[in-house]
Amino acid sequence: MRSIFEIALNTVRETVRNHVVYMVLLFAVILILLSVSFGDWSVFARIQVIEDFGLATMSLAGLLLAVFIGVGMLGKEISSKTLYHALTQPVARYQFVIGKYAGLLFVLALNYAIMTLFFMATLVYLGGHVTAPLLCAITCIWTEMAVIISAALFFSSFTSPMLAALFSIAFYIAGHLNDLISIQIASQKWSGFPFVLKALYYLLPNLEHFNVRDHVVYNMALPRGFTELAVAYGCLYVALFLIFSCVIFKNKDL
Amino acid sequence: MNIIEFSHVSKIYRKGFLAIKVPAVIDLSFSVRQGAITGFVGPNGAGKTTSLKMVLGLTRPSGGSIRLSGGDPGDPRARRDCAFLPEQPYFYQHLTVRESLAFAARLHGRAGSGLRADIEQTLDTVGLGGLGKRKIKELSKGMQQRLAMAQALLMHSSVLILDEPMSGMDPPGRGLFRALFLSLAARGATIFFSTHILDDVESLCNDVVVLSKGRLDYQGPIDTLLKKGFKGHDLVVPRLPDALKDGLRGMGCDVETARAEADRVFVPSGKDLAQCQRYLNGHGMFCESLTKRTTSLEDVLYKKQSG
Repeated sequence: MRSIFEIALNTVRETVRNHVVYMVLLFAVILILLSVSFGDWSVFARIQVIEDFGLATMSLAGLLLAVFIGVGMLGKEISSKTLYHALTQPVARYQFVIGKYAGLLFVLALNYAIMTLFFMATLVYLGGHVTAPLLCAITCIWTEMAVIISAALFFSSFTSPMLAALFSIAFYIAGHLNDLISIQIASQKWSGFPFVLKALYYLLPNLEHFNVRDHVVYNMALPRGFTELAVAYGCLYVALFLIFSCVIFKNKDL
Repeated sequence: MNIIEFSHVSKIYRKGFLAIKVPAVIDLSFSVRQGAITGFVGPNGAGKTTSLKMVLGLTRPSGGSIRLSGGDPGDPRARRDCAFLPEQPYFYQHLTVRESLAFAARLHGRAGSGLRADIEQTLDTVGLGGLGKRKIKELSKGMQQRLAMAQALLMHSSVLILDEPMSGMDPPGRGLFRALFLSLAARGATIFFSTHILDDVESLCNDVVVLSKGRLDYQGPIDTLLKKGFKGHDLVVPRLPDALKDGLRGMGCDVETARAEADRVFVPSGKDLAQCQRYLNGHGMFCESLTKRTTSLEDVLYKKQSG
């Protein structure tokens, strides 16, 4: 446990000293500020636009962090061999993977905390309210990013950082289009491949489960226990990706 | 007791799209004694670094078995008492010298109030005193190697595995490392290091393991290997009259001028040294010095590998 903590702490230190994090944060802050002026041009209510744009920005910022930092967490360490520093100590490989993930998750949480505070301050300043669906939406986005980072870590455990980044982006897009597969299955348009489609549908996480922006914008109530279920769904995928990453990394020649 | 044991170890890499098999180590068996300084030598591509990686659990053997401190190298417990110093130190460039040492020490289970003082003391030992706050990316390669040595010392490890520890080091740095090796060995540490610098092997090692093309070429005490390169004895005596020179040549010896007032008599191995000495003494000539003439380790290894 101590090794995991130390590796996580080192990851936090490394990430915090990386300028990319600040650039992404600045990018998110600028987009949230821009949403104020977009609200003036839109046919929708200004607050609705700010809420929609702000949440989308947070989701995008998380994806950028996952791609720029999450993918390099393992791949960069393998190519630069800095992981020898830890793995020649009495540290198990699974401890290294989990420590890396925990450190990155903490940095992501810190970023989201700053973005959330800034977003809420902007919203309240302009007359909006912090509602329960809004808090649920932010929790869901954070959970989604925890899944994306675990996927990025998984991809970087067996491929190059560049390919891992591409796979992560593809995973994000495919995860959000997963509903389309179920529509295809239901319409039986691709009747020749129902098994393949079903396998894909169940294999890929449905990242739309984490998208509740419409509920926030139109102030619709969420079903009871929705947030808890979404978080549990995300945790399940995180656990799966981490287990697969650990298994692959355990047998990897370094 | 053996600290490191290789038993019929092989390692085959698969390269390229067609996964062509490239053997790096073939049926390798050797052991490293506890408390000995063992040199690990061989030409480039002989499989030294691959073998060291396997000892540390960074790479898995394709066949055979390896034991480190009695355990599987993949098991973190086997590495508890072990420190590694790579050829090119791979430090986290974002850390300072002190942070890097503290990180490694904590991973090793060391913590507490005494750690900071220990770090400063260790940095002094390796000649990096006062550089604790400096970023690692600002250190030269030689300084990073000293830092890697500081890390190994900080752990108080009883097994040190080093991959070409003195390559690219300046003479003072090499001198420091040699002194540290000897002091650690005197305290009972086991040191296993790969190197191309055969002078270091000759002067530091008790044992040597020689690899060639992935196979074991020799394992054993370095003295035994050097004995194979024994050529004979050199006797330095006062200038000899020509008659005595002829007499010695008749006994199979060579005579040459050592300096203005002295000659050197070379008695080849297989010739009777005592008889030559008696002959000289009988004519009132006594030796100023008697030394063994041997070929260097480099010559011995070169002959072994080319022949």
